[in-house]
Amino acid sequence: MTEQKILEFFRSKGKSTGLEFDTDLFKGGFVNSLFALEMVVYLEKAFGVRIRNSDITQENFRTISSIAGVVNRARGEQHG
Amino acid sequence: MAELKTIKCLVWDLDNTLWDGTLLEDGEVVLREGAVEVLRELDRRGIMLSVASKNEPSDALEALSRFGLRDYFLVPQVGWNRKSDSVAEIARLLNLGLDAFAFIDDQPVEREEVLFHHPQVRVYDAADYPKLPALPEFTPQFVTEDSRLRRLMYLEDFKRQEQEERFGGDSEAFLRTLNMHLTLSPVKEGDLDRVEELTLRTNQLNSTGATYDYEELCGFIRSQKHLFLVAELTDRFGSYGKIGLALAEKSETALTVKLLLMSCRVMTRGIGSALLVHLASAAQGDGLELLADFIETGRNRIMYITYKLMGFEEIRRDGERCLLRYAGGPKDYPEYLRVEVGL
Repeated sequence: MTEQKILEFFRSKGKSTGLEFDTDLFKGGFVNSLFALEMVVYLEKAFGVRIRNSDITQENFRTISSIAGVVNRARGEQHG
Repeated sequence: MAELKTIKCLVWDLDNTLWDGTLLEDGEVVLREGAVEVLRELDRRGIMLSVASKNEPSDALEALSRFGLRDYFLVPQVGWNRKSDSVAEIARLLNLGLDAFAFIDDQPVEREEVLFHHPQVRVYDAADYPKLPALPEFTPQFVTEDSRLRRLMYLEDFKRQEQEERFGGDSEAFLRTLNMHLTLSPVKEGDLDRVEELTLRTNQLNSTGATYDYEELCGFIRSQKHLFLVAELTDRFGSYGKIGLALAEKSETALTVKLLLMSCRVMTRGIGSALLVHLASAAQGDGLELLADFIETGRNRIMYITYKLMGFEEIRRDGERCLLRYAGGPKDYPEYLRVEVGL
C-alpha cells in the first residue's frame, strides 16, 4: 500500500511519532524543503515514477494520504 | 580551457612534510621552515587544512598541540589507513567534493596511491610547500570576513551535528534548542565581496543562478525599485556569518523576486522560508502581489520545492524559466527562529 510505504519513509527519518495518514504535515512540523526533496527523490525511486512540478503543491503534500494520491496518479498515467 | 577550481581543503602528511624527521623513530621533530606561515596564510584565505598521517594518533596530535597547531587542522586522520581512505573520510566529514581537495606528502608512493583512487585530487610534493600560497588554485577570488572565519564555523558545525544526533531525526525539536537569530538587512557596499562570493559558491540553493557584476550590484543598493537583502544567522554555538541573499524588484503592481539563495550550510534551517515570509509581508504592505522568477539549473530543484510548499504557484513557463506567484496568506516566521529586520 502506497500510504504504508510513505509512512515507512517518515519512520526511517525518525518522524513517525503521532503520525497518521491524515495528519497535517505542515502543522506538525514534519516537512521542510530538504525533507520534501528527499521524499520526492525517494518516491520517484521507490515507485518508479516521475513527480511533475505541477504536482508539487502545498495541498498535495499536506498529508500522507494526499502524497499517496500523487504517487498513485503518476503510476496510473505511466501504466495507462 | 577548463576552469581551474579553487582548492577548499589541503590535506597534509606530517613526517618529513610538515616537520623534519619521523615521529616514531626520532621522537623529536622540528617544524619545517616557513611551514607555519604557509598554514596561517591558507587558513586566512578560508582554505581548510587537515591531516592524513601514518602514525600513532595520540603522538601525532600531541606533537601538533605542542607546536600550537592542533586547532588549524580539521578532522585530522592519523592511523594506519590508506591515505586515499583518509582523504575520502575528510571529504565526507567536511561535506566537500574531492575535486576541491589537495594532498601534500614527501613520498611519491603515497601521492600515487591517493591519485590512483581519487584522480580529481591535486597532489603536491612536500618540497613544494613554500610555493603553495603563490599558486592560482590556492588563491580564491575573494577573501572575506566569512572565509577568514570558515574553520571556526566548521568547528561550531561539528558541535551542532553532535547535538542534532541526540535528537534522532526530530528536526524541529533540535532547531528549537539552537536559539537561532536571523538578521535581514539591506545589502551595503561593504557586503558586496561576500555577496559575489555567495552567488558564485551557491548552486543548489539558488533560485535562478543569476550572477551580477560589481556595478550592477551597486546599482541595486542605490535603486529605489529594488529590495536587496542579506541574511545573517547566529545561534548558541556561534555565527554562521552572512548566509543568504534576496533580490526583488518593484513594479506598479508586483514585487518580483529575482534571486533567492542561501549557503548549503543552512540547508535545514528554514532560512529560505523566512526570507519569503519577509518578502510576502513587504509586498503586502505596499499593496503588491509577490512574484518570483525561477530558472531550473538541474541542481536547484530544492528551491523550486521551497517555493511551491510555501504556497507559490506557477503562472507562466518557458522551458527552464518560470514565473511563480504567491497565493498564500500572511505567514509567520518559523517559531524556532527569531527574526530581526535591520536598517
